[in-house]
Amino acid sequence: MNEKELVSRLRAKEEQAFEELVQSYGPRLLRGARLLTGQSQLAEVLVSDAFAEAFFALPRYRAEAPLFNWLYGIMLNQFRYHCRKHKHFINLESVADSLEAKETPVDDSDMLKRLPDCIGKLSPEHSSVIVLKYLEGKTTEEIADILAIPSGTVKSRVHNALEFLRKTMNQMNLLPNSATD
Amino acid sequence: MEHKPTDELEQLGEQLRSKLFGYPVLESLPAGFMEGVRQKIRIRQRQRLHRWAVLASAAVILLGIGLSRHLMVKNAPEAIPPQPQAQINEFDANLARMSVPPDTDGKIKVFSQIIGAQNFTLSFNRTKDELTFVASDKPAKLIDKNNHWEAKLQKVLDKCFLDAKELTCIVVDGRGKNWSILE
Repeated sequence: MNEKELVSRLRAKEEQAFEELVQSYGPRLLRGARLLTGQSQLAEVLVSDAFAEAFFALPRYRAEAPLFNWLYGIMLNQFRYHCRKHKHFINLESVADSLEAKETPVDDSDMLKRLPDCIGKLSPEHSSVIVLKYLEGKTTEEIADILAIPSGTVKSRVHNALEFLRKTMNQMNLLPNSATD
Repeated sequence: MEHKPTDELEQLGEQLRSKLFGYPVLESLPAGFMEGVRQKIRIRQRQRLHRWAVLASAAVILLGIGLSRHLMVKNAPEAIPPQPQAQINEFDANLARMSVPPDTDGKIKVFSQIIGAQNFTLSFNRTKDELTFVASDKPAKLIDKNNHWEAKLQKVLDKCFLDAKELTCIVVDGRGKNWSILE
């Protein structure tokens, strides 16, 4: 799909173009939202809200940024808004300390299942950078652009989030070297 | 929080990357997802319309209030005219009907009658054709709320001393302050 062509059709308010946009980017946005929220239904709400928001924000879209990044930014804004609304404030230290260690190590598929739990315990700001960097493979500069924050802030958030995840995952025996740590 | 060496965190990051690589992307959108998006768009459109309607109503109300206040302020002097036009016309008509004797003494007499000043001195310098009028208060008959008395005084001067080459009228109020000099 030619993105430029799609954007021009979207700007011409072609209904079919908007449907193509949702069909093309919806599944990937849903994957990110599911990882952030750990809930399929909530993820659907966030992504559909993001598309509805994008529908009205299209005239403000800068064509130089990839459409997907722009949509992702809107979805993450919806996520942060949702967290604020539902007072999803988490103290990284207290949560990590309260987690009980599992006695038996978990396998890869179990780890994949439990990763959303770990990521969901991060603050919205930290989970956003983790999802963008490790799920979507975005560079620091791209993340900075999507979240409209400086690159240095992205790096420090990634560092702090990894520190927290390391501790959490160790306590949940999700890391191979958990026993020695 | 205990800080681990950066390479250990990088290793964790790589682990995350490899694990999340397997995090599944849906092959298609859930049933009814597109309809859900359309419905949200419709709701937002309605909300936007409602918001605009509220803003427009508020703007109209504010505009109405502003306009009515503006008109009230603008119309205020007309609503209570300090010098009704009829009163001015009456003064002019009375002045036009009045005959002034040709001699100076007669003129001065008529002048003082018209202006109704109680405490004043009026002198006429024949060589300079200069009339000096000094009053300790504003002429009683000419006082009005709109301070048109100066114009009226000028009219009386013109009526009585039209032939004078130069007329100087000095009105001094009770505190000795010069109110006006008419030439």
